[in-house]
Amino acid sequence: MKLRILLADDHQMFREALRSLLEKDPRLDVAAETGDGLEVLRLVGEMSPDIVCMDINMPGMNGIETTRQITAAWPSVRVIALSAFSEPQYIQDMMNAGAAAYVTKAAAGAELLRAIDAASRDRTYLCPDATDAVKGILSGHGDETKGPARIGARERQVLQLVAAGFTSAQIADQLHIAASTVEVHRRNIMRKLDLHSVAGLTRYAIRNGLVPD
Amino acid sequence: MDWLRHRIPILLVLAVSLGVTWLLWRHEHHNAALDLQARLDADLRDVTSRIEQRMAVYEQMLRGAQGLFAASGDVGRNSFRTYVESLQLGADFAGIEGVGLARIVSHAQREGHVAALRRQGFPDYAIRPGGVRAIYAPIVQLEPFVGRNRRVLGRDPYATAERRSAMDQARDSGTPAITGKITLALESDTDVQPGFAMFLPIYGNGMPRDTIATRRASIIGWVIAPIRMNNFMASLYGERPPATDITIYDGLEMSDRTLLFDSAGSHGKPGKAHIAATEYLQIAGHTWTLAIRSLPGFDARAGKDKSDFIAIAGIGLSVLLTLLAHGFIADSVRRKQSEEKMSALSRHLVAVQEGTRRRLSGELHDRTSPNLAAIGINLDVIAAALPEAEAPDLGARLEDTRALIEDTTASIREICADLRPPVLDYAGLPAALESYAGQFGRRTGIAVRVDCAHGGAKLAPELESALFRIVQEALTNCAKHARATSIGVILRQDDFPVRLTVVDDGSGFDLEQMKEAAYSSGLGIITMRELAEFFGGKFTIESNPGKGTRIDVEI
Repeated sequence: MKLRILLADDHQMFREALRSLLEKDPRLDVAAETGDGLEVLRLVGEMSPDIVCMDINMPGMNGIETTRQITAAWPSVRVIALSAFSEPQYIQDMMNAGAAAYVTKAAAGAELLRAIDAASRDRTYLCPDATDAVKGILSGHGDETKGPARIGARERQVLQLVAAGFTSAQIADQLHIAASTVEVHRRNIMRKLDLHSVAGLTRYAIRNGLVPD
Repeated sequence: MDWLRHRIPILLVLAVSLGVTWLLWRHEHHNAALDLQARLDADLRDVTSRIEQRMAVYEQMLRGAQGLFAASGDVGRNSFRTYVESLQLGADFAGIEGVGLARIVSHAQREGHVAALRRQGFPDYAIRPGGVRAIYAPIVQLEPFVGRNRRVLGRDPYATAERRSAMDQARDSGTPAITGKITLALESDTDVQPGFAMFLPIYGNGMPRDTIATRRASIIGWVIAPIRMNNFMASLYGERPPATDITIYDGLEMSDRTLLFDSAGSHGKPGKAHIAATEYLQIAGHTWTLAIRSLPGFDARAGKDKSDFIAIAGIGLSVLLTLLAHGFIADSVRRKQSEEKMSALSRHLVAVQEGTRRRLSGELHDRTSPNLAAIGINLDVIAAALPEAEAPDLGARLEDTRALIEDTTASIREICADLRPPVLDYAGLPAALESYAGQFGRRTGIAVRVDCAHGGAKLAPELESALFRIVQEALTNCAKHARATSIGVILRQDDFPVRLTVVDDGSGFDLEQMKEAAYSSGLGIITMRELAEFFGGKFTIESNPGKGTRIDVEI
């Protein structure tokens, strides 16, 4: 029995990208899609999907209000918020409205699949960006160190080379990519790990065993 | 109301300056009036003393005649004439018509007396008025015996009550006495004047006169001087005090009946603001009242009256002062209006700027982030579909592309947050500050603690924008200049005024140097101050080198 999914987002290109991603998974069936909040309510009533992927900004009715009405009328339907925002306020409002998961659009690929998996098992799921944001609220500050799981293979590669003392140009040569791309990776790493200097990067790499002593 | 509010100060200036003018004018006017009164009093005293002196001379003259009798027993007609001629009436004695002699004649002596007088060359002589009386006192001689004096011969002054009482008074006292106001017997039909007569008793030679009884027994007649009032007064002066009206009344009563003399006659209409004075005068045991009044033109005699000048100059200055005040106030009202206009304009500009930022931020976000997200998902799909052979090489390239998208997305988020964070409109200032502080911390590594504990109070959107911009500016300053490691942001929006504090532990700076130093570093502070003051708030900054910086805003 496939999970029947309704995509609710007013951006068609994004919906198509999602559809092609989800349809790769044999357990999933994208049963319908729409870009209008009121239309979502109608479709949910008509075809009672298992999961709704819900954008926050939509014409007709916004995602938060739509979610509230869906979870009130059809408690069995799971709503996954799929938003461009990662501010805690949006996350809180969406979760309070009854959403089962929150995934930022920037992380939509693998994170959405994880969220669907969690939702299908009646679990609550927040993507890492959202978790960070909410964690900041819960603990008062957002200065926790982040686990290494979040950086990808290429990023790890760059991090190791930076920690080994190579310059961006040298790294670019080694990896056969543009120097500006190396810079991009470095910025992303620092952003993800909440680090602000090459010294910080090196320290992190050593501590996490990325650099041979 | 506004009209009145702006004009009250002007009217006040006018009232005060006119009031001062009036006080000065009244003071000067009062002084001038005192001066005039003093001059009038002096004029009156002068007239009084001249009359007194002249009467004393008359008395002296009559005493001369009295003495003549005392020295030579009876005095012959010729001797008396010689005496009077020697007085040279006319020069010093103008006003006195002549000096005469009234003799007591009993009824029994009457026939003989009349016959004797007729024999002496007065064939028409008779005692007038006629009628039978116990005592007669006909005037038997009046020198100089010319003109209207001739009409008097034979008149009996003792027959009229007015003259008789003066004669009795003179007889009983032995001193001169004058009548009240009478029309003299010598008056003809033309130029009739009020007049009076002066009497001095003559007693029989060698007869006792030490008591009233002996004086009554020894009286034989009177020396008489008839005086016409206008002539008398005319003789007193070479020059009468100008622009005055002098009136003399017989006795204390001041009426037409008692009026002896009026210097101005019917022309003596007093001026509007006339002043007056009166004095009482004792002449030969008789009281006269002297009154003096100013006539139009009298003012001119006083020292130059400066009150008119003061009034004109004062009113002129008051008007000038009022015009100046009006100009000044109109100017300040205009300035205030243009300030209000300027303030409304900059308010509008701030609103427009904030609106533009909001729109730009929204558009940028809405148009790019879904696209980027879609591209990212597509890349994931592509990566998953790569054939085994291509995977290592293309996979890495795809991962690089994924990183580019991630970086672009993050950059756009930061730009949008700087322009206008969506969460500020969505969830209000505290949430926006939390979110911005978190982002700022990730970007700069400076820990920002935000304390926005509040009880749900919601601020006006413009105020939220302004406070957000102030925090943004303060944090940017910290990152640029302060080398701080931690920043505290405290917002108390439930209070009134709303309080915002930003404290850092950075290097701080010398405020005095800052004022003088280049504009660049101070620009952020100026921006914050202007934002705060723009919303009627107060902005204070405290900083010392090495001790961090503290910014306080109260709005």
